[in-house]
Amino acid sequence: MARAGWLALALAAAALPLATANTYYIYLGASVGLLVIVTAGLNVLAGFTGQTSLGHAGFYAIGAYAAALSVTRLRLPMAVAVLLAISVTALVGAAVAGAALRVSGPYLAMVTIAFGIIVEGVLVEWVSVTGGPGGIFNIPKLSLARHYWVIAAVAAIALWMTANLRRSAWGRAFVAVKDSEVAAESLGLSAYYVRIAAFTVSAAFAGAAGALFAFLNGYISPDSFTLQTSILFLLVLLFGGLGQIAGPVVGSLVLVLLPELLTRIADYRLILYGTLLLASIYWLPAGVVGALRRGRRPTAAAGANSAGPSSGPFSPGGPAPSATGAALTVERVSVAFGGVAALSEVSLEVPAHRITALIGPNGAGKTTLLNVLSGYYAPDAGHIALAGRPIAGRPPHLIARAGVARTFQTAQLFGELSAGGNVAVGVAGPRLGGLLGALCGTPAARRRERELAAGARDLLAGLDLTSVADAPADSLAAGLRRRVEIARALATRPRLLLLDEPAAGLTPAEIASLDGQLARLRDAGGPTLVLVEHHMDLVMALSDHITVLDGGRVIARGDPAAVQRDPAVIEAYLGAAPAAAS
Amino acid sequence: MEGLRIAGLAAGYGAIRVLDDVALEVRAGELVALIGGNGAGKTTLLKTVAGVRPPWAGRVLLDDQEIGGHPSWWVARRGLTLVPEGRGVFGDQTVRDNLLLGALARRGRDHTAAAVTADLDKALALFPALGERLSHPAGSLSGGQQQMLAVARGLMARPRVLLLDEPSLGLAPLLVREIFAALGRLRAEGLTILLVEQLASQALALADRAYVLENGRITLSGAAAEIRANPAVMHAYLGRVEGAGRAQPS
Repeated sequence: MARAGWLALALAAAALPLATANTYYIYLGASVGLLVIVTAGLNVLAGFTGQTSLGHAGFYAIGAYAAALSVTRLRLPMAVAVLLAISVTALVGAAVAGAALRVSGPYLAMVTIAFGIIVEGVLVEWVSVTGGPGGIFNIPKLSLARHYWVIAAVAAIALWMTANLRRSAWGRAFVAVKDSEVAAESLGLSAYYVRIAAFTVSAAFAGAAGALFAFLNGYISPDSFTLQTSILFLLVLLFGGLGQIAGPVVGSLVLVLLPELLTRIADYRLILYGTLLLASIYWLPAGVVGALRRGRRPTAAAGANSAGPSSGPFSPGGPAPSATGAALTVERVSVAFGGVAALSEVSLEVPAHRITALIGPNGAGKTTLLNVLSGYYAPDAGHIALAGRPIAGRPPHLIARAGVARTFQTAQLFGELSAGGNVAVGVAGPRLGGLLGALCGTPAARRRERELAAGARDLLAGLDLTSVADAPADSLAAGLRRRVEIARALATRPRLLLLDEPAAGLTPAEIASLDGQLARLRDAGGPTLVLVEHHMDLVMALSDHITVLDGGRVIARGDPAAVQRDPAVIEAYLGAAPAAAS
Repeated sequence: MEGLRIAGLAAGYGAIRVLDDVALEVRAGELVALIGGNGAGKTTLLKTVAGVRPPWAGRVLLDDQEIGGHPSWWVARRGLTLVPEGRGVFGDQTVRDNLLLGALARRGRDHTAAAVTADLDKALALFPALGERLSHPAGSLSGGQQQMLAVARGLMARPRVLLLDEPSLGLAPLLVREIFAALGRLRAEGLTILLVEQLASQALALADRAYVLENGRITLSGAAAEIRANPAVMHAYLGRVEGAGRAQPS
């Protein structure tokens, strides 16, 4: 149905110059097309990646001036000028992103406003090149109808590219960084570089539109590239539907055509825009397209799932089992927060291909230790070595790439993705493939996509999660979220898997199933496991070694039986009464 | 009837129906346990009762007054407090401020400084670990301490009905016992409690009555002792892990 809608839209757009000879309508159609191109690109940044730019008129301007100068000064053909304009804007975009994306959210919006103002200022002041406030005249033009078709074709390609991108490993990485930066980094993605890629793509799209704009008008001046233009771009996207592929089309149509239909109140255009923005945020927080799609979400059975252990093969992946020995060595690691010692000289040897449990009272520092091991906190002192290589103090995404995966106490799934999509992010890890290939949906990119999807399916099947593979992660109950998160962590084929309370909130039957799955993982030579857990049944049944923390110090270590009898452990953790309270 | 009465309740997300024709009662002074597997709809039920999620159909009565479909702040002011799963403490504010914020929904006589201070002392007596961290930001507490803070904050509202969503989640064994002991004391004081808990055996040991929720429907209800002795419940919710990785809950 969606396909038929797109086809009808394409036919209608292509037929416009045949249906009317009125140049005014064709010009309006071209304006809609330009706006679609810019906002399709902005959708990659704001919709997929969740970062707002209020400076895209700057990139639009750079594209327009680059194209105009290439043709008027360098006498290059138009097509070459457009490609050159796209390249220049992409380069500038990457450079700006590299500097600006040290910050994100509202700070990024401020930085991009400044960028837009700087571009506008340069256009006005650098008279010898840009023509100053008067701009550039006599830019060659195609016939209006032909140029309209070029713009419509580019707009269609732009939309098609964003749809390709959204389905690719890159698209999932964008959403992952938006939904949970912490989790994305734990899978080896650098949030910084992923955002730079999104920003660069969006700048290149704006550059393409700018170049086509110059050839549409035959005249450009700084007046077309103000902060108001940037705001219009964002408004189109918010109104149409942030993150929706069709959002730019709906938003552009309404926001170009509506003021034209209401020319009598042209003076009140700004008031109209403002009201529209307020109204759309109030009544249509997901935009027009988002509101239309809401009614017919896939009715995935997000509920019950058999808790029985899997009968299918469960290949843990993982690197070839290396020589046994210490997979992880922690030596005298200390961490303090504002003078409060969270960990004091903690030492720990985690033997390879075994299950080591970390137990202790709440506040003992167990999660802090996991955060240090996975790079979220840098230790104040001490050494950490993974298979002999030091990892202490390195950022989370590099530690993840070295082979450390983890889950979180409150499962950090990427809510906008399906369960399968979440796992696919882990399967891909930092290996996202070529960005251009993803945009164009090349056969190689599609093949890789099929491999990633198949890998995700296998992992979900191994944890009895096949029935929820297509369910949106947001719709899953807490216990299922935890299991999807474990599948996602395993997808990175880790050497070392850190599990933070994997059994919390599970029913006894589900815990028994988890117990079986973890044991099989170990017995199949899978990753070394470090388990933080309070369900003592599970810990005692599963662990090869137990380390007990209290107040940031190791108070006991040994095999389960010895630890269970240790008076210090009984006093601090298990309690003096019989441990089995049920 | 004094207490909470739910009849014909349905709720869900988008096109997914999570709760279907749920009927449940918590009489004044009772502790009622609600047990069920993951995805059964327990959290959705609590959220719908507390006004966090809109009901699709049915009635929710608090002391015979309809509260279904009203926003959560309105429901909170009528005396129904939800301690949500996942704690939801205000991380940047101190433990003390978190507790005082719990008293925000109170009205009238209850809202005097003396009454609030008295309740603060009472909450700290229930959870002494919080007393040592009163001036620390709540975000610096460990997960288990945050859980205690969430329960204590719920009590600060002087609720007539308290809804607890997995209070034992992520707590060490010693603290689990502590929190169940605290619930026992609250019950003895006559507080009306609806408890969702994955540690079903402990919850049933404490509760007066219980309901089993499966796939969005109540499939079993009765005295807690009866539910506890029911073979189907024992099998599904009270089983224990035995042997390393060879437990077969089939």
